[in-house]
Amino acid sequence: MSSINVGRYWRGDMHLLYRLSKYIFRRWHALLLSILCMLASTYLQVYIPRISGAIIRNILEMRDFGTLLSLVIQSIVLTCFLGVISFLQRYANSYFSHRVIYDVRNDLYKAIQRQSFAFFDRTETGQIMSRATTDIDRIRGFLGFQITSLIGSIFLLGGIMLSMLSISLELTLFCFSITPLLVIIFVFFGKRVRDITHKAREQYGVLTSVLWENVSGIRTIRSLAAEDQEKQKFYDLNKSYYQSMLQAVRLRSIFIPLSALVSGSITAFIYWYGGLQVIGNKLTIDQLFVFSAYAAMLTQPISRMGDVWSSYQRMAAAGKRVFEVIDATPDVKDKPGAIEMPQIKGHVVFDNVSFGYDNNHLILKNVRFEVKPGETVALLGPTGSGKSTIIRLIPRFYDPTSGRILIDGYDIRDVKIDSLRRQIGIVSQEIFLFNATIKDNIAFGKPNATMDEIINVAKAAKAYDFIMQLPQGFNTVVGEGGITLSGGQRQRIAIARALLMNPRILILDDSTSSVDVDTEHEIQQALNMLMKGRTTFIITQRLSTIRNADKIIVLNNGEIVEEGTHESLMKKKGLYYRIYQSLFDMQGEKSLPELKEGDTKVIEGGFSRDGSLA
Amino acid sequence: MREVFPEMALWHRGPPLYVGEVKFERKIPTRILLLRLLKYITPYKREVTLTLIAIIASSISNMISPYILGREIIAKYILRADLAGLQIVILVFLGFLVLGWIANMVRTYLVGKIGENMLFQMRSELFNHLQTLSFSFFDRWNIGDIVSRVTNDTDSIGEAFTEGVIHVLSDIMSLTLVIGMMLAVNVQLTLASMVTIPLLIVSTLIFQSKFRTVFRVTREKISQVTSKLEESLSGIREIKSFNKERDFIEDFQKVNLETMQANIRAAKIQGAFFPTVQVIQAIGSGIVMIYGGILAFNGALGSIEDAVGTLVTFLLYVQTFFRPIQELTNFYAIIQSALAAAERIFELLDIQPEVKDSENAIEMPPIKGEITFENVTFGYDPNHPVVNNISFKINPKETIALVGPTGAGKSTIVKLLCRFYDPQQGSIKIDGYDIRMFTQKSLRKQMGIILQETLLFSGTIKDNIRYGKPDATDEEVINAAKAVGAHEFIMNLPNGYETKVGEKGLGLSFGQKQLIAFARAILKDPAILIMDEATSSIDPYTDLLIRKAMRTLLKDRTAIIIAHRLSTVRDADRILVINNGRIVEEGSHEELIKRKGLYYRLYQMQFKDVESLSKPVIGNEEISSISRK
Repeated sequence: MSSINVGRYWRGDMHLLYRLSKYIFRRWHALLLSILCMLASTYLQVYIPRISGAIIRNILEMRDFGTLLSLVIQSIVLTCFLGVISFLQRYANSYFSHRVIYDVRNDLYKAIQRQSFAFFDRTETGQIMSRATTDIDRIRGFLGFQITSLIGSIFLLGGIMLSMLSISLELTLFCFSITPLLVIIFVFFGKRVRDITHKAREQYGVLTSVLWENVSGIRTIRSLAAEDQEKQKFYDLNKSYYQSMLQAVRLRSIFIPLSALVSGSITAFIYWYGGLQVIGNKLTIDQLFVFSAYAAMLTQPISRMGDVWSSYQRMAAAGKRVFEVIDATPDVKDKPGAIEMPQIKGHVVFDNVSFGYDNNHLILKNVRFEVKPGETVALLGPTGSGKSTIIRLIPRFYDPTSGRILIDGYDIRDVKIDSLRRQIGIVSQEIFLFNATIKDNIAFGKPNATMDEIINVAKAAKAYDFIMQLPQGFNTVVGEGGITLSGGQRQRIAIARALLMNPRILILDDSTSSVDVDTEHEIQQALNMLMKGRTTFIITQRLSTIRNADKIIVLNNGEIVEEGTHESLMKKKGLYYRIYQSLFDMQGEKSLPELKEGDTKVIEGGFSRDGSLA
Repeated sequence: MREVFPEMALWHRGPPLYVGEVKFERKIPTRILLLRLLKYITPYKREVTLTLIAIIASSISNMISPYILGREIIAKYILRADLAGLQIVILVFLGFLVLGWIANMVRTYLVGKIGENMLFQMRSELFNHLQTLSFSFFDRWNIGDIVSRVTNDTDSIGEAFTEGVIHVLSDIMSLTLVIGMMLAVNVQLTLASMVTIPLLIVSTLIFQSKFRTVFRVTREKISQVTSKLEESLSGIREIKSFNKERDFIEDFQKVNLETMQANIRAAKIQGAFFPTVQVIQAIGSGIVMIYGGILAFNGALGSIEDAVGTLVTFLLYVQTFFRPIQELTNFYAIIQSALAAAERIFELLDIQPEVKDSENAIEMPPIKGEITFENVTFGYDPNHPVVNNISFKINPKETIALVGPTGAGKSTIVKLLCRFYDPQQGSIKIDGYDIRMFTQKSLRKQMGIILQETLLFSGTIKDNIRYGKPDATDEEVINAAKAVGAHEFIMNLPNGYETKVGEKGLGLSFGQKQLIAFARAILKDPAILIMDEATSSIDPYTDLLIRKAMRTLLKDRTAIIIAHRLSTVRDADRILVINNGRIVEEGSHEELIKRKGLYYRLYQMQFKDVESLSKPVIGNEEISSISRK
């Protein structure tokens, strides 16, 4: 469920690293600088404790103030130098990771824009959002810190080990015999803490969504007097989240202090064993001091390396999800050598078209019809009968599974998509307005339209009057943060938007509009205006529109069951007749007809998933 | 000891650099907020005491190790070649380590436990409180705000407690101990080693205020990226239909670039912070060594062995200074954001439900279903009554349709009957008893309420149907579904009654949801049925099904329906026409039509358009006839 079906086999981590490396190499200077700085700072880190050792030796043995002063100054200067280097390292690293992420995010966005409709049908918005935000952040987390951290850790470990060896072989061997213990602690507990935290986070997600559901459904809950049930549900979730958190607390309370105990014990041992050697004159006190400073530094690269691994795993999962989208090939795309669609006259032919989102379930079966330029076609049929699919195939939102669609004799797959869509105007049932001014929304498809043009189409779409009543007229911002328009108003904006494009073919999905009586008239007028002189496909329940159509196509279960004008179909007394009756009854004066056996089946057919009709 | 894990020295990612927006203006005084917060901890007096002891113990063990290492192990035993003594003092050192380990375990565990308990308590309290609040509350408050108080705000209190208060306590403890120990060893050297502290405090504060600004910018930028993305995903069909992909890509690249630049700017400041601290630390150590060296050469630190031991001790102490001080400078911000969160939580908890069960409220006995409104007046704002001195009576098993223009007060009447609000004047009686005598729950248990929009909860269809009656058997659920004609479509779903619906489940059509709501209502077998008919138009097939179901639903019960459909109005026993909060007409459809009053006008307006179609004018003239109105 969490994966997008890209119709392509994912080749695992190596492929991911290969994909990622392309982005990394584009910014190699920054990465290289960061790594070089990392090496330099590691060297200084290992070097500086020696100065402390020299200072102690100086105090103990030479007692020379001049040397002491120069040693101290040396150590401060080196630390300043170290500071500059580590600043550079951090900066280069951030620069590198943000640059890479910038590229990845752009490519992801481009890939999203490239995808065809089928992709958005099967992928939830939230999923894509989380890929573009959380997942990309994880990749950045890894690139920004872990790559150099891994390299740094290895060098630091090596540096510490060499320095320790140069002081005392026995002590070094001892220290490194304990390291596996540290590794076990970090790896074992680290994983368990992560697992339990992960579990807790999921529980928290459920808790939040139950809370959200409760508050948004509070009216229903009160109506059903279900408060106690809700309290119990929340209590249970709250409790189990609490228990997971407590489990995490318990683990952490063992784990965190334990690492301190281990590293403290190492120090104790070093001073015990090292102390014996100092007493036996095999080691000097300053060497012992420096050695213990190194030993204290040992835990960090080890714990860092544990972090690198888990961060890599998280990154790999996230990266896979991100590149899955970037590499997804769109179902509908221009074929090589596609030509520009010339000015459309509006002759549309469906030639034996079948379509299914997957091959087993055909939504359209061998549909064939012909529409002459300028004709209006009304599509009718129960929910799921395939009428929406027909209108989606015309602008090539999907490609037919078999058969072909011809516009003015051109197979629409042979022409460039944008040249086709430019000439098709679509007003869909759910109208989305962008967070911009009314003017920008109307000029959406034609950004260089003049104000006169915009006003003209707004007038034609019967939108001008209400727009002028808005606080800033055409400059009023709609959408998030702006004002909210009613369904009827949005519909008229959409009509104006389509009108401005002066499309040759018009597609109207008007099936579920609910507006008040006055608006209904206005919209009707606007639509009539829009339909004039263009080939129009319309899904509607408006009786007058249906009756005035040049052609009515009645669909059921993906097939055309009836086709003709209102009069010819009414005479037939088939499915159209019954649909018309019930539409009329819903909107009109007639009383409820007694249901006949056959009708009930039609009605239930509207519900059943396959839309089957007895 | 926490500095050992997981970050240290060069890897140091530092204390939380930025703690969120700090809100300084508060309505509730700090003292009261703290006292109320304290109440959540009081049940854990024993744990709190133990925690304090553990903090002291772990600070002692933390702070004593540099002393033992320098002054004892190095000075007294190694440099003086005391073998036996060395072994003993190492054991003492180990002893303190174990003590610190135990104390730390106890501390981490108890703090976590108290914190989690506190949060558990708060969340439960908030949720239960929400269940008692009246509709007027939910009318005013935004869902996101409520949810965020229960989740984000409790979280930030939890964080402030475990990360803030406890750390600060340990830090203060450690600092005091360190300074005490240092003073005990050598006063002059102590003063010398504290020279860099003001520098450290000032630079930390400066950095923190810079972090606040840069992180605010990066957060703003990233939220722009998110909203651009969100917008283009919701509008993807429009974008594609209008061939706007390229423009949107350009737009996105612009905000994406700005985000990157803001982040790199932030990285510059962030990257400079730690090296700065490191340099200050090095200067601090340098001063200790130079001054300590002078003192040692002068013999002011005793024998040379003692001098070296003292110096090592001080060097180790100077390093322990830094983290507590950094954390303390951050403490104010943490506390401020926690107090702001606490205020938001208490504000919610302090809201009193407007509709409450009276103290001696009784369970409502089984009712016949007679409803009386006696001179009822109500306004959401008491100065603007929406329902104005209304009186009417509904007989048991009668079906009443409420009709009237938008805003006439129809749904308010219905809400008053459900006691979602209490009237300001007058009384509402069921079977002759004032509904305020009964508990709200027992009242609503006998009512079936169907709202315009049906909300399905995440869960199975079965769970959703028996939502109002959790103990219903499967058979009852199926019978209810059959009665309203929902059984067929449910059986056609992938898993029948076990099909998951709601947020993560299958999306049902509007009509299907309505039928589920009907089944849910009929399962309760309520004496009174209240329905706000849906206005959204649905396809004719569903409409027929719903009408059939409504007949079953209305049989043998008192029903009040806010009607939007012609058929409902005509099937009702009686129609109440409401206007401006008053009943203006009353009677059956035929009677009201004859009267030619408001009902007649409403009827005409609503169905005029369709009626014109009943004269079968076919052809182009018809459109013009409609547009002429």
